[in-house]
Amino acid sequence: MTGPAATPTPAPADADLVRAYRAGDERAATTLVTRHAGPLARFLAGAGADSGDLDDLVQETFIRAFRSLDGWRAEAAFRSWLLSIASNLLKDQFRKHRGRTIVAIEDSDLPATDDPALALDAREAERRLIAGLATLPRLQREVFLLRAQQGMDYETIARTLDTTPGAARVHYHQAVKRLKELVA
Amino acid sequence: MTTELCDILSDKLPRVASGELQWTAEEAAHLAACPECAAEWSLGGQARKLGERAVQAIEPAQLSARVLAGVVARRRQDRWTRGAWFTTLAAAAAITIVVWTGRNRGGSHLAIGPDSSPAVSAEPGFHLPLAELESLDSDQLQAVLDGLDAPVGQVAPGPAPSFGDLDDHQLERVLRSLEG
Repeated sequence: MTGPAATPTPAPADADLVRAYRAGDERAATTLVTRHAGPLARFLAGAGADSGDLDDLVQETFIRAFRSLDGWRAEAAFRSWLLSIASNLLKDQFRKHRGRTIVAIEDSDLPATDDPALALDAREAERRLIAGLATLPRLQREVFLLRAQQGMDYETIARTLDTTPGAARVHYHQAVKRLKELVA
Repeated sequence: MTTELCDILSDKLPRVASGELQWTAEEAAHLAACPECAAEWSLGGQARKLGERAVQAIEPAQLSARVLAGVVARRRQDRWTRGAWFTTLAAAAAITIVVWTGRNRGGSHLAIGPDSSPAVSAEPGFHLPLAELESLDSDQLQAVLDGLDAPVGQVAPGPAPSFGDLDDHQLERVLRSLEG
């Protein structure tokens, strides 16, 4: 006779992990980092971070987040809060390096593929996208990334970037229109 | 030119991309036929691939260790900065008090002159009859100075002034000061 099938333990919610970390459980912090580092790095890459700085920026975003967990309201998604910190961090960095905006993508940043023709296409497409994103105003660029890359709805985007859902929708459509002209 | 179906696809696009929803047959047909929607779909796909190498290079355990170490280091730095601020403020306050107190004491000594009270110091037990000094000759003044320089309990030898050395006017003033 076999026992009841073991049901897989659901992954802990971000709010539970934050609570555990604040209670002193460092493994909870590792889980949060593992869960959100990838999307955070992609966002920063699209938003104009230098590929050489990407690792440091991801690290700095997490440090700032963990140091200001008191400011996180659990009703907002942890990831959108994290991305808002990353957005402010980039804003600070661009202000510091006035004049320097978005860097050109390097070959080492591009996805690896065995097919040389596909690799060339991918490289060219990504280069054009990065160049196109660089021409957009900051808010348009970040709204586009939060929607097209991170899959957020307009309400969440508005909370993350401190704007309204209606304005976020307009920014997204303006960004798509401009990128179609430049990239497609 | 965009149609109502273009708007529906645009709104649904992120959720289809994340695998949460699927296109209906009608939507899929529209996507295949509409260059505007196809371009938007393609842009989303490219955006999701940005930073691929950087993401693959991330070592969550190492990154997490660096983050936690960074949080601890910043806390320590904050504490040190707060301590330094406190020390600076305390030092500034102490200097202000010393200067302020010194000025107030100096202010009482400024009232030196023939019309001022014979005992100008506010401290009890330390009466220096400054007005009387003006009437002393140089030997007497030197004796007073020697007395001030001598260790406590010792009086420097010399021609210390006595009541006999004072004239009537001076004796009258001493008497008045004794009677209050």
